Amino acid sequence: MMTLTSKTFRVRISAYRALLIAAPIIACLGSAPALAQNTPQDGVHADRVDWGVLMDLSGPTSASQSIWVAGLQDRIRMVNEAGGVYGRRINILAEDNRFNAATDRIAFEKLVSQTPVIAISGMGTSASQVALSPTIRAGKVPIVGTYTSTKALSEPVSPMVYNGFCGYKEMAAAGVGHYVDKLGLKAPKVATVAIESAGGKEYHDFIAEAVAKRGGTAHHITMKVTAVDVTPQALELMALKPDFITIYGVPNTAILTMKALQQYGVKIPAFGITYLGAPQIFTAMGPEAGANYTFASCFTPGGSDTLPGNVEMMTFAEKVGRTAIREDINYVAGWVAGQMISEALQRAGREATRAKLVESLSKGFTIDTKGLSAPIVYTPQNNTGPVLFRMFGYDHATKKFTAFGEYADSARYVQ
Amino acid sequence: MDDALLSVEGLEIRFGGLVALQSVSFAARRGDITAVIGPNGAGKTTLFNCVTGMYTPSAGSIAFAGKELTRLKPFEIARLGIARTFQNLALFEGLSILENLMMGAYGRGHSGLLEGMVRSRRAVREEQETRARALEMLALLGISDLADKRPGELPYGAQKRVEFGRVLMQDAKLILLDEPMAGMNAAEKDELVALIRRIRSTLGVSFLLVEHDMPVVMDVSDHIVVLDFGRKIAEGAPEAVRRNEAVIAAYLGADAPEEALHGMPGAAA
Amino acid sequence: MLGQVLFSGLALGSIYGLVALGFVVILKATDVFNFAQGMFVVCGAYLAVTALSLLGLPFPLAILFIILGAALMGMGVHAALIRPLSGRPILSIIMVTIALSIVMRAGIEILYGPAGRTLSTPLPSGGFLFAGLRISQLHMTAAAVSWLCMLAFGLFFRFTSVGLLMRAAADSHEAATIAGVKVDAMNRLAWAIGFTLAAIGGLFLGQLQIVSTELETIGLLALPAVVIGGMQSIPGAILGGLLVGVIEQLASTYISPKSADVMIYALLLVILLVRPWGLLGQKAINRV
Repeated sequence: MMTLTSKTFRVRISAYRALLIAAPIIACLGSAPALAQNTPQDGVHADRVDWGVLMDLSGPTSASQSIWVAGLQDRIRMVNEAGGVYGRRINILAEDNRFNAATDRIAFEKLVSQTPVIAISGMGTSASQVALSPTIRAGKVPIVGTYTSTKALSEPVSPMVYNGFCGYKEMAAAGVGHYVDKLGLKAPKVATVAIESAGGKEYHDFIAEAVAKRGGTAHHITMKVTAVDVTPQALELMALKPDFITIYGVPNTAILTMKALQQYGVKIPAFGITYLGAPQIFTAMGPEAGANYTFASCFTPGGSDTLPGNVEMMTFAEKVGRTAIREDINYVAGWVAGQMISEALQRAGREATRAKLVESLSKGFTIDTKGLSAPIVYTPQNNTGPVLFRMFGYDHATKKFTAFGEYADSARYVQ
Repeated sequence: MDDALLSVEGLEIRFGGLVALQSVSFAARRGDITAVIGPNGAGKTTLFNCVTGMYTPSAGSIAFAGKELTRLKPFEIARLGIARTFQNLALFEGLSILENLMMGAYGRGHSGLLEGMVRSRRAVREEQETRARALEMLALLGISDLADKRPGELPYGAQKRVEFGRVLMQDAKLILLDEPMAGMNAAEKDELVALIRRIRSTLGVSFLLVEHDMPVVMDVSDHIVVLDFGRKIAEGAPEAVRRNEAVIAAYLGADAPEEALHGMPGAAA
Repeated sequence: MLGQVLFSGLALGSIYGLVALGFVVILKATDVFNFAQGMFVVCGAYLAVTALSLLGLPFPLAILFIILGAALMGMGVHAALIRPLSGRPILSIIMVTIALSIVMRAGIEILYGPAGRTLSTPLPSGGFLFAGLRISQLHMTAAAVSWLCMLAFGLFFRFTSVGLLMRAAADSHEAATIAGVKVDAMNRLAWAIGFTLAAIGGLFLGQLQIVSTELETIGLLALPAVVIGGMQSIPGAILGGLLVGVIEQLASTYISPKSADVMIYALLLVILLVRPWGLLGQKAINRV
């Protein structure tokens, strides 16, 4: 479950320090635009721009990652159908890293030196993110829109990296804040049910931190990724009697936990991480168990509101035959990443190069997703990406997601 | 040779460069006890394996009641009515003695696999009949009290009888016996000889016999085929074979066991 | 608490036992240590998805579809891979079963996509309180059906003529052939039965969990179950399955989920050291 490894601590770094790091790189790259201009190394051609995507398209994590890639590709397709960026078609080169850091490294080198591409998105395998982070940070190819972000890649802030998915630290803070206030708790008792992994432990630490701020206690309960029966965990939860539960893992983790609690006639509200926000998960839980479950997300799943961004996505997805996956949270995340790509290229200018792209992005920019998320703000000091969250439930009768509150509500929790 | 039950013509089999059998021809008549003898390595067991379809001959033909066997699969040959015992017993260690006997009949069962699985009336009736017959056979062999034992729990002589019983359950017209007397004491041998005779007379079964025990061979056989180094060197009635010079030479020249020479007066002289 | 844990352990163990039984049937008949048994479980779950979700068959028809589909696949595997390789070194055949499992996994992911699917059947999924224990109806049903299948197989194997033929063929290919048994047909039947038992396990595991190729891991718990119970023993496979289920739940409850695997394989190691023929297996008897 490497994709679920932790989103990073958001460290506040002074603008000065960021500049100190970024300036030499920018200066260095920026001084040679004439050389880099339209050279094949940067992937910018007369009629197209090559842009790389590194994700697991096969293997254990491909179920969610391939949907993200589909969302990204569909968004790019929409941009291309509308004429591309500066008349150039965006050409997505998706490399399958097969959940394997070694494959990832080869694919990365290929995209950087051979193909080449102007920038890369995704990097879904956290192991290879960690392994490649020194290369990326010292290199010339920016990573725009990560699927998951490891500390190694995103801290300290680098002009080469722009996170694109909901971060765990903010997710934990938003979820805990939401439930503590909603249930009116004084000293919340919270249980984290997580698969046994480093990411699970880190997520629990974020939860514990957020709970401690509210004067409560957090307990860590683990589960196997391949569990079939979670009687032991259910019994532990029943003995613990937490005010609410938070779930980290694979769809099965959430489904088994909620079904087991229903089995024992226990109604404890629970929220899952963003990745556990698919309609199938709620359907598998059934209406009764599903009623107690929500997930925290920085993106609005398809079809859950009628804001322009959502309508645009749903309409286009239907047009290109993606009705089966357009309500998956990974689809909207990929769709937004696609928007990041097109807007980044827009910023890089008509004569885009890797250097110009990095230069324009490092000054800071904001992505307006027209309601699919809160505006995503990148500053020279902070590339965390989406930080505001909403909780989503599912209405089994209408087969639609229902949102609780607004993105802005979570601002007070995550700050 | 009109009444030949089994006729072997120009049989040849090679394993790589080794010629195990070379132009072997003979016939076993209906109702006869035909013995195949010869020193160790003469090709006797190989011959049996060709007849039962375990080996495919390189050349020649084997006909059983006029039907060519060399192209058939072992289970098809078994179903035509050829049964066999092994030099080293081939019993089902995991099955009871009664089941071992029943197996002989099931191989030829008429109800099919599916019928047996869904327990059709015919399959159930067949099963009951087989069980009754197996019990009778145990009585005939004098081992009724051992019905529920496993082969491994029985003395060697009794195991031999079980194998014999299973073969009889197959309703075979021709039974191949591969050294049935090996490891038996004198009394057991006498009993087995009597049993073979009794079966021939009551059931009309023919026998093809490989045996090293010369007194038994001379006593029980109607016809003897002698093999040496994969070739037939002699054939005929016991008296004729006993005096055949080639046979004597083969047995003297070969590293024949004491037991084999014993009972060959010609050779001993 | 202990009772609750034992209940879920025994219920899961019954499914493991069923899958392990399928494994032993194949092993006894053809001497093949089948590493693809886990994927047979996955196949069963996907057959259920196909019948119920994709074809929308009524439940009884879906069950028939799963059983027939699994039996045919078992025969297909035997005819295509196992029979042509009979007589080859045991390692070659083991490699073939490993290759088969990899190919099956890829095939399923190509056909059905990599995303897991949820399986909903009309089987009862509620629960009730009995003697202080919270009894899950789905667990109960899974255990009951597993026991029914094991019992049916036991009766078939022990008391019918076809069962006797299967036992005989498994016991000695040579003697069975000589007795006129179509050993090939018996082996084919064994693979059909082995596959079907795994598929029924997959139907329940797919419903308890979600249907994805990851179910293979659970299906492969049949391997330690079989080694613990006794490689050639049918009651041993069932006992081994139950033990694996109970140990898994006890370890998860009283130590940690991760320790469950450690405990299962620790027991396996002890068995291999102290009683290599397994709890109910038979010590090899040397023939005269």
